[in-house]
Amino acid sequence: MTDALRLRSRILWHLAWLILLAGLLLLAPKLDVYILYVLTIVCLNVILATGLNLVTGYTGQISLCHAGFLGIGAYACPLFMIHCHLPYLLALLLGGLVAGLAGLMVGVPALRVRGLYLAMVTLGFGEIVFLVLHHWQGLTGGPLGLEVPAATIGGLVIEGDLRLFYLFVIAAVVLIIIARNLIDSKIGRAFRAISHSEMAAQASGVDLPTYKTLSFALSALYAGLAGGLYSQLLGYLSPDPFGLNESILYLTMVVVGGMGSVAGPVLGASLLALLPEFLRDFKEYQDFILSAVLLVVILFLPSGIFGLGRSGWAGLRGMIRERGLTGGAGG
Amino acid sequence: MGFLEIANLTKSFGGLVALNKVSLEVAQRQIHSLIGPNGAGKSTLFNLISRTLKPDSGRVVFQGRDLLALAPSRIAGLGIGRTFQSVELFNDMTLLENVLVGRHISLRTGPISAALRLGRFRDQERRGREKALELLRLVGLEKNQDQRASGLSLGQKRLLELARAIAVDPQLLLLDEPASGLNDSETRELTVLIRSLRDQYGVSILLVEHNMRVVMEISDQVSVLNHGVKIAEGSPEEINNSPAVIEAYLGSQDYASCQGN
Repeated sequence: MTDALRLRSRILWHLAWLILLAGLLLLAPKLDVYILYVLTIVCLNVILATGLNLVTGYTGQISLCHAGFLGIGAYACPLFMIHCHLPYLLALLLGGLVAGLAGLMVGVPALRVRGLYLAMVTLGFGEIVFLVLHHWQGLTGGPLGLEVPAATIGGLVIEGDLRLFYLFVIAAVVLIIIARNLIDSKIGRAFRAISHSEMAAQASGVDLPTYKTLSFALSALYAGLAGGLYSQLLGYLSPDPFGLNESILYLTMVVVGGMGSVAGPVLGASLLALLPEFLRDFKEYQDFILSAVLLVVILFLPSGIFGLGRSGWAGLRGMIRERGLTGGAGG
Repeated sequence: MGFLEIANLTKSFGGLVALNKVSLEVAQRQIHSLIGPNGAGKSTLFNLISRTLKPDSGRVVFQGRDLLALAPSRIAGLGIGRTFQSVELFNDMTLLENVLVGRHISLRTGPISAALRLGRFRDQERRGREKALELLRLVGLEKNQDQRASGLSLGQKRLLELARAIAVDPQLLLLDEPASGLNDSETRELTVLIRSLRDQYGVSILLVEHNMRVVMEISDQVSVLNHGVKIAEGSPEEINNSPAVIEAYLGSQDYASCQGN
């Protein structure tokens, strides 16, 4: 019976994802250019939050430098295209790997420090990336900027909002599926085990150094890939979108949406990308409202909005079942 | 050469010598219990063997391999499983997933085959799940396989932890007060289970336990610690009649009440 239940809930989930995806893809050509742009940003944030969720949500290691990894990917990808004349997809992949390598480097101190101290280490790393992007003008152009060459994939030039949007959606879907697959494997279980009890994880044979650094590297790889995509959306790079504020924003997405679930970061990323659009009329209160949302979630919803939805759903089902039982007993 | 050899193990915390040149040997297919009044150094010895603590001096050799030279995560790979006095479960994970973490080493899949769900991954995962389910069945928790570990009672949690420890395919199990917090019927089930692990699976067990009835009932060999020193060793009957042991426990609530039982 549990098998049947599990299968049914899995089918329902897949169906929900498919409908969402099909709706997005079919509606896209009819959408207003601006809305399309916002949705593209949503996809970008979803990729980033999904990656950040691997290290923070599942492995329980805080990172305040994901905008830095995003920046590394965003610069590395066009630089590979310009200097090595690589095709876009290859440059994108390599840019992601460079960011992943940087993640590996950050993962090493994560073996020694935790909590607040790890937050400081990652914060410091993020600032270093930001400063390097700013001051290594020979490579990055610094504040003057870097022009991003247009991408072509298999002879198709990725230009125009629609093609860009499709590229982002496909990347987001592929990366979410891969994240889900990893989480449901011994790797993801090792991540989750570490966040609950390092002692028990080790006693089961989980090597802490390997899996902590792997989780940082994977998470940074996601951010790096997001960066390579982002560079195409921006067209012209400057270091500004890769600072501490953005890192905190990405962390907020994961926390608000719900750490340690696949749907949570998707929800959080969408919400936090869309919220400013809805709050456009109250621009001066935006930060205030965002902070208030974050506070409420941290204080009252430890597993985020998605967690709230899930427990609400479980509670509802429990209630229905109870009613049914008492009704049966009465009859 | 013994199965598990502990030689001259010493550990002090600040000025307190928790363990003073303790040596003991656990033989294959035996249940070896470690008893002693509170603060005798049982848990310290236990944590030294499982590499949770580092000793000041001494040796721990398992089947000819020096355990103290290994990283804590390598211990499981040698065939040593353990449970924790404080029950360390992965609370947000299901029972099945908890046991699957115990199968970590025997599941051979790389990141790529896991990310893309290649045939090799599916095959390994299926086998892992079958084995995990079998272990849940062994401890009587298979019906709760999809439940989260946090929802279990203490007795069930101890059983789940045991299942996870058995999942590493151990030749030696280190059980840290597995019966503490259990009621009588749960304790009886646990006793039967521990004995069957020795008899049917050939596992050796090093047991730290306060419940004297359990210790006297299932042990092949008992070592007694007091103030960090081993004061006696022998069969349960020998220990029961040993003047040194009775003296160590004299006036201690522990032993008086357990004898009363």
